[in-house]
Amino acid sequence: MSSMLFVFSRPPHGSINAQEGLDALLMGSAFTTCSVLFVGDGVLQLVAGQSTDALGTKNFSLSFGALKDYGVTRIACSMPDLLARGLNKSDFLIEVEPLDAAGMQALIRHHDKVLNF
Amino acid sequence: MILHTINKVAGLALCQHLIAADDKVVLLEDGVYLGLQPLAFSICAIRLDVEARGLVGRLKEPVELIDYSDFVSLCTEADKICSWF
Repeated sequence: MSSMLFVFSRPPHGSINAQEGLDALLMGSAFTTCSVLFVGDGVLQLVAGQSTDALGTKNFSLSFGALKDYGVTRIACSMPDLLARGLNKSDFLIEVEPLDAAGMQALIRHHDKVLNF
Repeated sequence: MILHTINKVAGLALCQHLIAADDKVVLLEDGVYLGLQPLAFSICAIRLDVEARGLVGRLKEPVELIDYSDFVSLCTEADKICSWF
């Protein structure tokens, strides 16, 4: 079975992309080896303390805590994109492995399929 | 070889750190506007999209113009394809 790398590249609440991506990742991890890489504004999905009560939408960021239980192999983010937004690992709601350019290129190389959300 | 396709100018910001030295990049649709700026890697652009936008002769070297059959060949040669949109 092909291994899959899900790349999350959109901010969390402005469009449905982020939530759809997370749903696809959780579903995919039931069938095959999956990892996730957060790049660009996608790193903003991981920021702790999101509250969508007043917005009336689902706070799907809470589901990130389930990635390990679903067997998602590697949870990584772009170190340059993290720094460009003035964030660091302590801003995140789960443990994430920051990668430099070479690390991200290797992650892509080691997976059979790459899906961008 | 990994093939990266970019179909919007904003797509470059997502993948600029993810493109390895031996990867190939194809610009299509509005992504061809990226050919107006100097880029750190060699790229191809879909000729139809370049012509439609009046960019023939305006793109920075070295942008190689390709047609859809070349694009299909690149896709079949690639180990995997990453779409940045």
